[in-house]
Amino acid sequence: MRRALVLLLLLASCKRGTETRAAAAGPTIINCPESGCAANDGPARDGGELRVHVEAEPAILCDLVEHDVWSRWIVENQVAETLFYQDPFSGALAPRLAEKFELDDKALTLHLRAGVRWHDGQPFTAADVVFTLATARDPKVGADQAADLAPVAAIRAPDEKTVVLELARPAPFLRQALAHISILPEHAYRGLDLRKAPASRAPIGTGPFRFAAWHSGEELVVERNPDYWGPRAHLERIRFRVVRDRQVAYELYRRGELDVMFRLPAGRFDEARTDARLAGHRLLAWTMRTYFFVVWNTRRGPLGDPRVRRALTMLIDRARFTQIAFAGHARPVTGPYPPNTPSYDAALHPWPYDPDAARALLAEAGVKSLKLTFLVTAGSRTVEQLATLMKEDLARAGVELDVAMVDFAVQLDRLRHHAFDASALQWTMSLEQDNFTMFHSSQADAGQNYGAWKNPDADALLEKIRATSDDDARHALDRRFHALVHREQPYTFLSAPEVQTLEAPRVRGLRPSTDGFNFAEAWIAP
Amino acid sequence: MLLKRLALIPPTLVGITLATFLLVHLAPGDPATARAGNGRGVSAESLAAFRHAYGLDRPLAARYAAWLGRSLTLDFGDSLVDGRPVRAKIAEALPSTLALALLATLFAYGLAVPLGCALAAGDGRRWARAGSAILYLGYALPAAAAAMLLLYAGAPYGGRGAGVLTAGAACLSIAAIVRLARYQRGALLAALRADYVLTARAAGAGPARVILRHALRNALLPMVTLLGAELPALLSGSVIVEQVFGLHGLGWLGFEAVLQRDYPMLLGLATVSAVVTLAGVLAADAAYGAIDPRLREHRA
Amino acid sequence: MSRAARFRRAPGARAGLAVLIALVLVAAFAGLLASDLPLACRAEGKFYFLPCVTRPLALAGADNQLLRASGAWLIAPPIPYGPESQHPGGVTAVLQPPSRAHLFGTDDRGRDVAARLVHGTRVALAVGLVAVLLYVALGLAVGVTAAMGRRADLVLGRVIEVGLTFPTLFLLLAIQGLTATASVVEVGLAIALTQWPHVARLVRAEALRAMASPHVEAARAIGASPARLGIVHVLPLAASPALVAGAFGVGQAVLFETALSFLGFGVPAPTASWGELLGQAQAAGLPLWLLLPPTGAIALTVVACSLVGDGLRRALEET
Repeated sequence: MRRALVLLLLLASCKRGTETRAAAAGPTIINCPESGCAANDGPARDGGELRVHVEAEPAILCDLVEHDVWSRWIVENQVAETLFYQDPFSGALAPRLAEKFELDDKALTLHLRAGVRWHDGQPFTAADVVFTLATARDPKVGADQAADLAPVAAIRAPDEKTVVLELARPAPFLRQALAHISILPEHAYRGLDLRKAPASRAPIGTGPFRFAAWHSGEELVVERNPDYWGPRAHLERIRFRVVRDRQVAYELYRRGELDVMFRLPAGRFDEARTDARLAGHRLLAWTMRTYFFVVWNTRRGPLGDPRVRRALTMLIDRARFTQIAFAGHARPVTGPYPPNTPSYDAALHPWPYDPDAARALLAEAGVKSLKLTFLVTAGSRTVEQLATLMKEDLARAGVELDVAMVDFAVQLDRLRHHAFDASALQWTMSLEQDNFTMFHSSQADAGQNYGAWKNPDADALLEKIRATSDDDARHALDRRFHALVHREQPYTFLSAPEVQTLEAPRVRGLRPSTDGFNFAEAWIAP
Repeated sequence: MLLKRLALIPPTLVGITLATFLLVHLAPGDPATARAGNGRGVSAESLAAFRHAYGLDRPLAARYAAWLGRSLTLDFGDSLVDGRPVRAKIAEALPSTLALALLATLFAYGLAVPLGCALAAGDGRRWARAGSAILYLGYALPAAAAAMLLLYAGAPYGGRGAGVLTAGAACLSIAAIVRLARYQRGALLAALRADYVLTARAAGAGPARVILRHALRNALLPMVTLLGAELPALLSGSVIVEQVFGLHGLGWLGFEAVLQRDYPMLLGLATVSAVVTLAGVLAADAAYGAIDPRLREHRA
Repeated sequence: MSRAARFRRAPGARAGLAVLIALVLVAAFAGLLASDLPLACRAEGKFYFLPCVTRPLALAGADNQLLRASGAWLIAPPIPYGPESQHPGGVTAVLQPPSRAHLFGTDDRGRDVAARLVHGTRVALAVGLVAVLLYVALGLAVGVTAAMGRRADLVLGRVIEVGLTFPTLFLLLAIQGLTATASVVEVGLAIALTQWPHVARLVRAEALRAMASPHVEAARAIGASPARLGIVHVLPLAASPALVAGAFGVGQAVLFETALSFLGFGVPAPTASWGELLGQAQAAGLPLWLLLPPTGAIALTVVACSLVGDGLRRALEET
């Protein structure tokens, strides 16, 4: 047995390629601009099967109950549809199930598309929209989208093709929110618990793909919907293969058992670049609309003082963290908005790495020594790397950092109850980002303001942003909020990591974005 | 004797499930918040509704008693993660795990017995000593490293095919092979020194015949009882193997259940794995008793 | 033949013992073997003895490489890097294969792998020691008590059986989840709680045999109290399987810690542990130079423990 293992070790070492190769064979590297990668041109061919890697199996395929990224990939935009379609790059909203609309400060009136049928043949009507939105707003359901529907006072359906949302106040983020709520078939959920209804295991939608099968723990399959009201999809079938470990998934991709890998494992980029097995593949490098940050609990003594937080930010060598955790493939960010949008004030630069200035600031704030506990999620290599780097960096100014590794359930619990000093998280942003639940002081207990930050100027700005319908005026307010957050540092903003997506040569027309992929436009070359 | 052992199984099961129940409830982190995750829709009402739907707001003793009653009909309730019946989820995962455990046991015994015999036969020779040393090294190779190496060498991934089950079982069985081979060697050597063997040799029986007929049978017996000790290790050691080879088994189910504080699933899993283990131990003891009638009365 | 002589005759037992002693020494003197500060140096006119241990404030921010570059006289430790220095000499070189500067290369944060290997010995032996001490003690206590009386046996026998059939991993994870911060002690405790039933079972069998021996019968006839009977007479006779299990157990505990690290529940950062190095190797696609050192160290420990355990078994068994 051992001899076989020795042979395997030798085999493995040959494959791993510690030798340098002269010619850089390997995938074609495409750096995607903010406007998205160019779609592959060429006449689209019909048919074919695509195998896509997903990192975790969704629990329930109902958008209102499980809003995690994997169920969204599979259901939203593929099987189910939303009222509007938001372009993941430009943010423009286009009509989808809502063909026309009228919006003023009092109401949003939607005129629904005619001739649309559910996958089981039933007609799509206003009753479905009313049901979905009412359920989304129901506090017992606890849907992620409930917060977005807060300005809606009442929902009426005057006839089968019209829905009126009466507004209590101006709602600048409402149409964007409606672009991310999948409409559910009322007839499939009538009288049933959302979690346990059969339609939550086998979703019924109106989209270009129809749900086909779910092999627990292995894969989910969707097939083309031949009766789709819009342009037919090219792909015949998509298999979403569940592979929990990214290293294993990468190995499967190299073997040809997967066609698309959304995210190359961190640290394998250099190896992938010169991997001869990936010749002809495409490696798309783009930045996700997320940011990585350290959250400080402002209720814990000195952490309530913005000078202390600024000092801590200046003590952390963020450039070195980016180098180590993402091999330099990340862009530093300074605030809670997508960097390429008008909400982001590009004139702001990150606080410099300056331990001396930091020490001076700490002294000014009257802090002689500080001991902090940093919560790390068990199993998250990036956060662990951050913790060790921070520990070393902060020690230079006499700040002692203790690392507490806890599992996800415990971390969430402690974040919600503010039983921590510091932790690291990652937020994903919408193109029109509403930061209310994360930064408003009212959200400390019920919302996502885990650091319990309380700043009256910030509160006022956030409330005003929510009430401003005019885009330009609102973006100006966003920039002011950005500047405020930059000054006060309730978070230490780190970076927006770059994602490397791998596509096999036979895959065409697929564009990765923060929302996933546009499978309806993709096709397979023979 | 067997009846007495059978009668003692229920209290053991109650003990295991009670211990699991208490342990899981002592762990910090509550399933309602774990399900809600980082979502923005978390409200007091939605958490309360979740807790009520799963009976999490009832007192501990009442919940355990209710669970115990339902479990008699194999109704373990619904999983907190996706609302599906625990029984169904376990039923999906059980075949892979059983297949893995069975194959691993076959490999373990199939390789360990001849290996142990060979080492005993060559006791003192150089190649036997080298073989022993190599066995130790095999024991020390961490399962994760072995599994990943096999995968990189081309082992298949996913599904329930013979290939992937073989690869997974091979990884699982390494430690068991080593333990059992060493035990077999020791037992055979001891048996070879026994009086009746010396008598047989004095009577002129050739060495091979001596080994095969007399010593082996007696040395094999203890190996059978070791089966009982190996089963729990196999059942729980499979988490890593399942993750690396993409097998949908009880190990991974249990790991996820612990992370998500999925109480009903954990209780169901604890019961099922305990039943399987106890059944295995019982079967091994019965086999032992059947093979050697002298030992039937000694069961205490 | 005396016990010591039987031990010596067991193949490899002496070698195993020597290796274990060497490991203990490495763990004890890890600070002198691998450190970012020198064993002795003269900087800015002052002489420092063993600054790697005393860590004087005057040298904070300095390390072997910087001192050497500035021309100060120093005696560097055999491995001139510390287990936690992420940029020795101001250079961060992440995931570098072995080179002249770094014997085993650097890890995913620029730390020297050889230094982490040496310091990892501390965690390995500490976890092993904590776990083994706890479960040998518990196993002895429960096993002897169970053998002493029928009612005790009925109850404790069930407890042992529950412990034996309890799924190990659940227990490990649940304990890790229970404790606020994982550390060497908690990992050792978790391992101990999963292994004590095996020891208890072996001890009980031995103790039952001991109870029937003439030695114990005599003591009982004199009227020794149950406690005295158990501790003074039965325990020494029943202890041998526990000791043997303990010897093997140190190696087993190291393997457990490795598995826990793989799943993300081992000793937390930034403590150096062999399991953590292995986890890094796995995350980097198993490059041989990162895979072999921790695997080798683990194998060495496990083999040494097994050899010593075998030797102990031969020494203690009365054939």
